[in-house]
Amino acid sequence: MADNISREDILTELFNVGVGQAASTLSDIIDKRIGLTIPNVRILDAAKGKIELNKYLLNVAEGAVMVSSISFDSQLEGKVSLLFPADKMHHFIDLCLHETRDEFENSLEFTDIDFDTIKEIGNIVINSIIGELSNTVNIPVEYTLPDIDVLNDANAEHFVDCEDYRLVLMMFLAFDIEGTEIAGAIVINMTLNSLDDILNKIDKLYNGR
Amino acid sequence: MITEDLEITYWNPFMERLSGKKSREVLGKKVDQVLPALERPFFYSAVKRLTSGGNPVFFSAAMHRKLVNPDHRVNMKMNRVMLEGRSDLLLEFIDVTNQFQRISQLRDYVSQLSHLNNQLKQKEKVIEKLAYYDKLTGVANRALFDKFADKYLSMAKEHGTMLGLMFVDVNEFKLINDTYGHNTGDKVMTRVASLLTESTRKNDIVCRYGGDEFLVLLPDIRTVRDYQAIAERIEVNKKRHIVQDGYDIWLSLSIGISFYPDDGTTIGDLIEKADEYMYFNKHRLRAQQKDMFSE
Repeated sequence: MADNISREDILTELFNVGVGQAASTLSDIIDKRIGLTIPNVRILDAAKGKIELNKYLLNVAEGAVMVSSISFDSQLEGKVSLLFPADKMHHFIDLCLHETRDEFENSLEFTDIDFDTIKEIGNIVINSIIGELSNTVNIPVEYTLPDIDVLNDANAEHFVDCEDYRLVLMMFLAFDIEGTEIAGAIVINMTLNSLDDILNKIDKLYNGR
Repeated sequence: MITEDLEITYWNPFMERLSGKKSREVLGKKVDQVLPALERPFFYSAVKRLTSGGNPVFFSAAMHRKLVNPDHRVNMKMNRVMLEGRSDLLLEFIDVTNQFQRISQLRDYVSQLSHLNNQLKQKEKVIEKLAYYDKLTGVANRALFDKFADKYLSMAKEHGTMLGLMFVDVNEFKLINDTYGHNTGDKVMTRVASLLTESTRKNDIVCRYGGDEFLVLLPDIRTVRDYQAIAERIEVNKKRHIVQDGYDIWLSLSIGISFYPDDGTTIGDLIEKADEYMYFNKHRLRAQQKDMFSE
């Protein structure tokens, strides 16, 4: 158990380094002060992962989310999903684009331009997390550009696959653009073997085991 | 196509059209010099990530407005490609200017529709006002009175309460018109409407019934005291001098009131009864005035 907590702490630190770089890149692009933090990373089995994710979907996103996701393979195998509450996304996109729109502020209708904006943000954030992880444990990861989707009645089943002895890395992402905060979530659903590889490498790196 | 050192190795005809720069002008030059919008830390760090990790990078036209040309909106994808044992970077520019124009048009249409919708709503309000309110005095007309009369009568029947109906007539209004002119007469009529509205409760309905006649619906009367409070406020104002257009005019009202269920069970019955009481009071007033003058 003690090992488990320290692994989660190490992952939290690793991912925060990654999102810190993502925040700096995004600030450079949109020319605004951006804060990105991951309070903690939790390693959960698929069943617990689903319970935690459903809490987020119910309480923060009210079931409607904008999802940016990629599948990765090579030595590590799994899927990363970056989730945002869909009803906050028009405001979020407007902040990124320095625009203001009055109409349909809370609607769930998005244009291709909106999707492309989130695709770029997703690309930067996911790149930073997976890139940092891949670099640290020195395991190459291959993936494509993220797919963007809006799900109206999302539940954990969409993001967590119970097959193949999969585990879930679950973390919340606090996105702050000049004082406007948006609570996102990141779900990494990967095979037990992949996570074992990562954790073993971490153990070797940090504990000399 | 560029090398990992950002040197341009291939520049296709599409890029020539998009940038206005010929292939021979740019080959061998650094891409961030040819496209100055890329001379930024985010681009250099993306190149570094792509070179080391090989995973693709995406830049959206919305977040990067002048990547190649201020008149064109382009998305840019960056991929690492292996060529003759050397890794180069493929920068793929996708012109999405049409998408931006279509969405901008759509937003204009939505904005125009929203503007038209607001205008329509305002016109609906005007039409409703014309349909349900008296043009001269601004109080309810007969159409609105009928609507509320039925509603209030049903409520009174359902809740076992009384419904009061007041018939108000402006005494000697013809004389006011003949003496001071129709313009002043109209203003006096408006003053009477205001007097009745101010003396009644929020849910009472004051209606101009005819030339110099008003009806007032008094719903939810539970005891005589409810009615008396309203009657007392009208009583104070119903006989008095008013100054209109510089004329000192003697204004007096004759009032009759009927109640559901005591005086009738239909609105027609109640109007008839209230009209009858109003005439009785008017004749009594005339008789009193006659007696006063003969003494």
